[in-house]
Amino acid sequence: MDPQALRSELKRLIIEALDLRGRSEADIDDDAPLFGDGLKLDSLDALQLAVALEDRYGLEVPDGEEGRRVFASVSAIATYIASKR
Amino acid sequence: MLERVAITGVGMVTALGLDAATTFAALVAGTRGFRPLSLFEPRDARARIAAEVSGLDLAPVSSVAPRGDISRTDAMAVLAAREAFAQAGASPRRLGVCFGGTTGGMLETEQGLLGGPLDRIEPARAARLLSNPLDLTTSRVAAALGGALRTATLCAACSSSALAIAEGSAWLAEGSVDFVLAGGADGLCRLTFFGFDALGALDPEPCRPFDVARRGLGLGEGAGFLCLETEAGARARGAHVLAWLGGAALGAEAHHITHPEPSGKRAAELVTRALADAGLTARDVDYVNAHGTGTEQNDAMEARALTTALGADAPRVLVSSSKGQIGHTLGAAGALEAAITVLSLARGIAPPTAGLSTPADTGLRHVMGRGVAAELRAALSCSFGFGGTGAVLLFQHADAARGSPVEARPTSRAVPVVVTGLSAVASFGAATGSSAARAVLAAPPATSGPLAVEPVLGLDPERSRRFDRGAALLTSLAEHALADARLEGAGVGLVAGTAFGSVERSVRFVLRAVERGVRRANPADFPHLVASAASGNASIYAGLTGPALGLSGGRAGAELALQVAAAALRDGQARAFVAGAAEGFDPIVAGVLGPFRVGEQTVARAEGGGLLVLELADAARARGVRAAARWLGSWSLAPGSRWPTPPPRRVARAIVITTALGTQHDAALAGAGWGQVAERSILEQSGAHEAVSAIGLVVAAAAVACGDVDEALALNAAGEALWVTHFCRDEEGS
Repeated sequence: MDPQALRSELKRLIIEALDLRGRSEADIDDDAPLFGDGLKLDSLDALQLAVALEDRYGLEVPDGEEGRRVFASVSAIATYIASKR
Repeated sequence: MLERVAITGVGMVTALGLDAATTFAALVAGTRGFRPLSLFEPRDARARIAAEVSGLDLAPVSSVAPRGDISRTDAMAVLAAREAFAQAGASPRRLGVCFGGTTGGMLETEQGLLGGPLDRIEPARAARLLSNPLDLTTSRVAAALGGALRTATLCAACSSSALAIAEGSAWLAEGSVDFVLAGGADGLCRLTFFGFDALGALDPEPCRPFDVARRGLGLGEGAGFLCLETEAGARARGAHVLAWLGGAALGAEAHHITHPEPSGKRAAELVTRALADAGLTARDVDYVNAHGTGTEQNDAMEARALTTALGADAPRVLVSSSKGQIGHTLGAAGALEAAITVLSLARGIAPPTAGLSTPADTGLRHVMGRGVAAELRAALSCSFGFGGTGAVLLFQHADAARGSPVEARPTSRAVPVVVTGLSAVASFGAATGSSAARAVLAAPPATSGPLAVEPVLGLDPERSRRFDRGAALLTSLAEHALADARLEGAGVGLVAGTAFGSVERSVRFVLRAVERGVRRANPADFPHLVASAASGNASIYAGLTGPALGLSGGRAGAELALQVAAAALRDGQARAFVAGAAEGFDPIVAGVLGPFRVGEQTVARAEGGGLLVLELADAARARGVRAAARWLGSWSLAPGSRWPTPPPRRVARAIVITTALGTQHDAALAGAGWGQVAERSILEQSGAHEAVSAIGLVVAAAAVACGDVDEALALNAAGEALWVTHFCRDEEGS
């Protein structure tokens, strides 16, 4: 899958898994922070997103600091998924 | 508190023992109750231990259930309540039972649910999920004690049973009962074990409250009950007083569904308020039984709160958490914390925090290793939970003189309670304030099924994205009722009846965890499955910082909510309460129960609810608000019991609003002098669901508010009982 398509797919997954009603792909910037600022997601969302990524891509999201780097943005998640393939 | 409350009996069932004495001795010795989980397979959960109760024999307790079908939670509750009752030597006359819990018979429910293929839940198995409402445990306890005059079943997550103790003490002040058995019970089950594990909140090792190495909580199970009575009553019958309940403070943080407010400011306020309620200061306190769950967030918040509230006395006051020994018992935690605090005072021993060797905080005097003997004059019991709910109880040694409350309050029974805000939602849309009566009575017949109400509810989609239908309905109702009452949320409480809670989501959560693994469960769903989640969500959304709780009461949830709110208002726990009920459409409830039954008839299920803002009459007047109506009371009448309210002053200026179809109450009304009064059923307009009586209450109060009538009765049939609520015009000085 090309990187652009993967990022699009991830945005749809985030909207669906976190029930971000009224949001569209266009509202999520590739490089904007997902947590805290930006989309204002919280730690419950992080747990939920980890489950959704494991479900969809069959990979485990690491805990701790490494996990925070993976979840920094849509681009960071896409890079992590690509690196595991 | 106006008058302190005597604690004359204590009962405990924990992993350390099946009675209070055994449990307390093991606590003091530093014994830990964790062992490999045996009640169910932990699957792929990170944690595999729990503080299970062993040697629990259900047989001697099962006689309290008609078919002997009691849950572990029921059994533990009955054992602890019987122990407290026997120790008090109380007579069963004029008894109240006030119970707090979170999951009731969920373990047994799960066993029924899992007895077949998981891809499809057929009605017979799903029915098991509706067979254990929280208030069933309360009725088991009442039956075991020979019957109760008054009961309530509260849910405020992990502070549930601490709230039950405070609420029960307020019943004594109201004079409605002579004794209250107040407490809580929760058995281990997959829902909570897998839920906390999915949140990453469980420590795989026995938990370590307040320690630098703490990694999370350890779940336990158990029950705790206290026998409460008035000081005068206890002295008159020469009862042995174990300790006094001198003060209580209940509240909510309005912050986040799982994260405590990190500064501990709100929790510190509760400690300060509980002290002031007892007329004491931090100087008088010698021990704190902390909530101390072992999670990073709770313990850091609580340490800050205690350091702040105890101030210069913090380095002197002994502090411990019992969670490293009996685990976190969720709905039972508040009552067990209170029971341990009472026994600490009575015996002059502060138990330790097991698992703690290096405190993460520096400002507190933790008890470590074994218990320490000390003369304890007064002690605090602290409880906090999901949704930001909190309760702090202050107990005093039996020989201690009572404090002098800072705030003088009038005798509670004499203070009238008025209605200052009204809202209802059903297929007629949103009806608010005094116009709600005509709007509902003139509405077209209700549609069944879920409402197309998102625009009507008017909630911010982002802030309400995790809400289920019940939470969305309740939050919107609360916003409308508060606006009608012209109230901001600070200091306002919320108590909302719900018959079932979030059934479909709970089923899906448990099935997904069992079928696909705990690590594939939906962690963000879990905090929304507890019966108080709708109230917690509404409290956070609307910024309510008074106590926020759910109430399990079947079809009488709204009336019970008014009773609970009025007692808490008179006890000074909030400046106003939003009270009523809301029931979201749940496909499993609809599929299993089928149409809603009203007498001999059935009506297709719908959803909706109603809320009333209650205030003490003086408080409403002080802020210059005209009351919509005065609430004279809500009463449950068993067949053949005496009618509680006087006949109408003027028949032409009164109305009866019923949620029944037909004429089933006509004889009772005629006997009470209400036979000639116009009677209107709202069932066709409001739709059929367990919260329909809440809409009836709103319509009755609104009929008075709009000037159509001077007084109104709201009638509601709930099982065997007929519920009567009486509203009249609020005439100043009358």
